[in-house]
Amino acid sequence: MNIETVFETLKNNQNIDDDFKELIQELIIIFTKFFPNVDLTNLNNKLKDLKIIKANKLISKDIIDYNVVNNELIFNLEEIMKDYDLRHVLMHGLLRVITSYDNTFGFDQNNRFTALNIGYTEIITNFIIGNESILTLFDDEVIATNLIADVVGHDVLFQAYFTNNANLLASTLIDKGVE
Amino acid sequence: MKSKTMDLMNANYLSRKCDNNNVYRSTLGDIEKIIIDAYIKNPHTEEEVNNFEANLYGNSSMFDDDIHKSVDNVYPYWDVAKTNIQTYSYDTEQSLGRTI
Repeated sequence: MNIETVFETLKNNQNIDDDFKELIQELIIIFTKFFPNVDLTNLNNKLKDLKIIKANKLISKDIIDYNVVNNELIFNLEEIMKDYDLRHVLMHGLLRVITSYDNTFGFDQNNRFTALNIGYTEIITNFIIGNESILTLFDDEVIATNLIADVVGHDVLFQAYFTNNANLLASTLIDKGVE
Repeated sequence: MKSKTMDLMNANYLSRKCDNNNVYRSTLGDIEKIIIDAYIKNPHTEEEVNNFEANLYGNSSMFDDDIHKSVDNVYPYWDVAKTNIQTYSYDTEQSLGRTI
């Protein structure tokens, strides 16, 4: 998928304001510099009607969430008022969009790997764009996922994440004796 | 696949995500222990062991008080567990035709 096509799709999205569009475009460029081989077809499809929603914490305490079914990136209104690095938060959300499939994203499947999936998304986010705020995201999940990566191998997590391959992850966890 | 580790991680995450009454307490320490149990089942180079240890200890600057409480008892657990890790040298790895 040509990146210019993705930008055109983003430009035509009527649900996202121009400031967000500009930021999303910048983040897509950064993403493709790090991972030029990741196909953007899914992102392009999602950007056609992606919505940015601001919600209160009664729904979730996470600062960012992605509803795959409704194709909504959801920002926690209360949390976003704090001093988070917005580019970092949005990059985390975009990774969920890029790797989304069925009703989930990354290597999750039937909610089996939810926390590991979120931890890995945050690790990739840190790798791509860093974090200029002292406020960090998903600390427990990042710490545990880094340790799991030492057990199963970072390459396995990477491949499983960007190919939505939960079976690869599950079989490797078993092989390595992760109960 | 039923995984105790994934179940613990998911439960910890979801209880924090849905904690609207501020009663959440991190269970990261329990999670780290069960990952240690898996880690020591496989042989590692000394470099890998040091890296794993750094991942246990090295992130403590980002720990809040709640996580500190949860992981305090992990370190003595690791100190014992790591004595049971089968280690091999880089030379051994090369002789096996594998790449680190």
